[in-house]
Amino acid sequence: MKTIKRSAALLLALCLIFALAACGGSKEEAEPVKIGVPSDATNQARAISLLETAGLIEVDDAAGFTPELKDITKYIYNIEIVPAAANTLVATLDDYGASTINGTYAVPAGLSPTEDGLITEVQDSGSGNPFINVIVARTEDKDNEDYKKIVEAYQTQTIAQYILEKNSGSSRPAFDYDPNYSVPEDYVSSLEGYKSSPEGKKSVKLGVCGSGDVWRAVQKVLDDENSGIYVDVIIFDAYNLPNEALNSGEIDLNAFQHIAYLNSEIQSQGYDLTPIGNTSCAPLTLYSKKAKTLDDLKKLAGLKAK
Amino acid sequence: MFEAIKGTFPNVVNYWDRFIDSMEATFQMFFIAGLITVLIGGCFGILLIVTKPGGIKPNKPVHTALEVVTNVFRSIPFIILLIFLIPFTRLIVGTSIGVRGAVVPLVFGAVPFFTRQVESALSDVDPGKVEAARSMGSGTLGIIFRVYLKEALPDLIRVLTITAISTIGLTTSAGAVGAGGIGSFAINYGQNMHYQDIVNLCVIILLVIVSIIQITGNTLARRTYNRELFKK
Amino acid sequence: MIVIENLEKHFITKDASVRAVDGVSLTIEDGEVYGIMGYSGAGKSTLVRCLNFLEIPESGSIEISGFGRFVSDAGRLYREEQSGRRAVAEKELRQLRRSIGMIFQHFNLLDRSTVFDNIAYPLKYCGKSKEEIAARVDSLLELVDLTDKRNAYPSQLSGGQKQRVAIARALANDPKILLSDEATSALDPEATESILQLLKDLNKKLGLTIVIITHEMAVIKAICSRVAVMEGGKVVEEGPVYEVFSAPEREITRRFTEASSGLGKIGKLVESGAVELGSSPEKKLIRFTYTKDTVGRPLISTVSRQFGVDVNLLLANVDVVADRALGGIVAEISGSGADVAAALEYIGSCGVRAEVIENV
Repeated sequence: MKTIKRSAALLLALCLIFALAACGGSKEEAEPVKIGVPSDATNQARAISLLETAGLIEVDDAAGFTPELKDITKYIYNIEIVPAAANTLVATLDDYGASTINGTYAVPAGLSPTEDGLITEVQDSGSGNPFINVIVARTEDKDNEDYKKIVEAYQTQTIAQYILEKNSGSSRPAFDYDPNYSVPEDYVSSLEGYKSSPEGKKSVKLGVCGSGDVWRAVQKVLDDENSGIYVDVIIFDAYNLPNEALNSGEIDLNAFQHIAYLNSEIQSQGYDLTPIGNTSCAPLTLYSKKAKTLDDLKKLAGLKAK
Repeated sequence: MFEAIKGTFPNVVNYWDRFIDSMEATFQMFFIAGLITVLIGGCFGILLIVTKPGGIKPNKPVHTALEVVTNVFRSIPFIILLIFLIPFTRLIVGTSIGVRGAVVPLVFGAVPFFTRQVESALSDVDPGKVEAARSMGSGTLGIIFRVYLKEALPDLIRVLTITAISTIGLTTSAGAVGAGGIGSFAINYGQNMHYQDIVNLCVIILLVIVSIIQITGNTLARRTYNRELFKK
Repeated sequence: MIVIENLEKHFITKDASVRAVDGVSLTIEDGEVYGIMGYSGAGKSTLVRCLNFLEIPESGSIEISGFGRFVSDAGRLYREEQSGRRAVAEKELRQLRRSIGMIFQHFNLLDRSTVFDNIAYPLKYCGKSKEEIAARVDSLLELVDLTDKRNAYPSQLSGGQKQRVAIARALANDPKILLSDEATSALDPEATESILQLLKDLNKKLGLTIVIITHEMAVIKAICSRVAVMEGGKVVEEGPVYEVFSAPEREITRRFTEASSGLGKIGKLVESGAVELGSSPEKKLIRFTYTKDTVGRPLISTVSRQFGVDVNLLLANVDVVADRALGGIVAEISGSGADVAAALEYIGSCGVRAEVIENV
């Protein structure tokens, strides 16, 4: 009996020692700061690029515009990158040290890229920017006259104003427009409330992700021009299907992705798709509730030990 | 009244027509897929009971094949089934997107579930009753309709209720293939655009739909079960 | 008449093939009440299910007057005709089953149908009009004395009433044969008696041939004229009820009679030490079995007086079987060796069987 008691006590003591040692060990290397990034390939690549720009990590140059987690060559600061569904990142911002969030999700939730953001993607509508959203058609249809009309209807001042008003700066038109304008207060809602009928018109099926409200405005432009085209918007909840549906001919156009994502999809899936017009760009911003500036965040994380 | 709704759900009012569209899509998916599921799953459930060893028409190959198919499809999560079935869906209904494209995976998701439920409801029917029916000269069809289905009616209504509720659940994932519906509305307008009132309303609507199904099912099941007490 | 010849029915389980019915041959006369007795697993239920073709025998033949002769070969049923034998189709089997009634231990009524609908169930197969069905059901209800329960549900009936409904249902198509599978085993004694009485009446009134499966000897004694005792799939003893029970040849039959008469309790007495087993010349433990009509004689007092032996009665019982008395006594006889032997000889000469109980 005594022996049992003694060995139990010894065991307990040993456990305690190890536990303490473990604690001490982890004190030397603090818990990494968690950074939320979108889980979908499109946004994740941008998030990784943004984190590289911020100087938190180093990325293999060979990955180009579409780096993946595996392309990260070095963590400069002690951070852990956690992929999560892009649309959940706002709600869970408190749980992360910082998160890269699309303007489309952040701005409606009351986050401002200029005030709350630590760093924002730099996007110019100039050539070479792969993160501009595009309308995509099958390559064989890239010169289709109806599709061209749709692109033209999109790239109008009406739509530019709609995008700017609707998204409060989280998303900008990716085509030429006049930034000096004034609009009535119900400008956005009157366009969104526009209802058209497919009767007597040529129907064009267009796949989007998220809300397809902008296409109601585009429809109004098309109808005002008597183009005889009806854009039948199909909303997909997931990013993986609109390209598949387009390539297989189930839809005629899609508009939900930027060039970088399209290119990676074409490469991996062998789709025969071509962008036929720019729509908008929505920069990704690194937000944090725990750090006010990028330097704060870096201090919080600390340099990654070797 | 309207002002009160507008106050509680301001964004829902703004997106009213889209909300109505999504309700319509949900009900379309629910009723079309539900009807097909009841027909196919009901037949499968009956076949499982009839062809099982010791059943009224034992048939090992048919029974084993049904068992395997139900088990395989029951173990695939719906959101994966949705993607996995795309080529097949296209083959059957010509498209893999929209309500039409969602019906096929919905059926595939709900049929195995319903089949099992029907099987378990029917296997509760006392084999003695089946034997009595055989001794009175009932054939396979007679036993199915006059004994199994009639005697198990309250249980069948109960499992129908459960399946209906789970099918409603499945329709909320169908937005992945562009079928719309309340689930898709909640994600694309509620969550993505951060309109909490839209999410709230969608939850309430789903709760109401599920409650209505549950209450209707319970009432009907009780009515049929206690028929002898109601009709003295 | 039902003539069964060399009937075989096997069941294949995981481990082995079980011979549920193993070479049974029986003849059941028209209009008689025939009992088939045995413990559970003896194969009697399977045998009776072969009679209405719920089970198709492996081999053997069954001839039923009015239906013809059916021969089984390798699990397939054939009907013997002048031109040769012809395979029996499923549809024909169903028709055959309709003309043989069957009742069950647990009644097997449809719980969600009224008494009326339960009885009307088999009638829907014979193309009768609604009115004809209603009239038939009403006359059946009268037959089983349940007219007032016409629209009740089974859950509102007692066990005895349920069995009456089952009997009415089984008789709906006017069968000549009624099979009863442990029909009274789930009933209390009173209900059992009334059901047995009903069966007896039906047998007399309608000239119904009734085949009764049971493990209760009381049932056989009450209404059967002949009995077959089954064990391990075989009929081990067969004959008129009185003969079989008064002179049981097989151990199993004796167990049944003893259990029924209570004479088997001697085993318990011995075990408890109250009685000693013994076959010393001076003291013997004897089982007397009355046969014929010897029950009327003052046997014990005569023996005691004439031979100067002491007779200590331990157990006694008299049954009425097939309207005749059948009974037994277990007693201890003690006296001088010669007297005891002489007494036993006398008893034997009176038509009473006496055996020394050496073990229990």
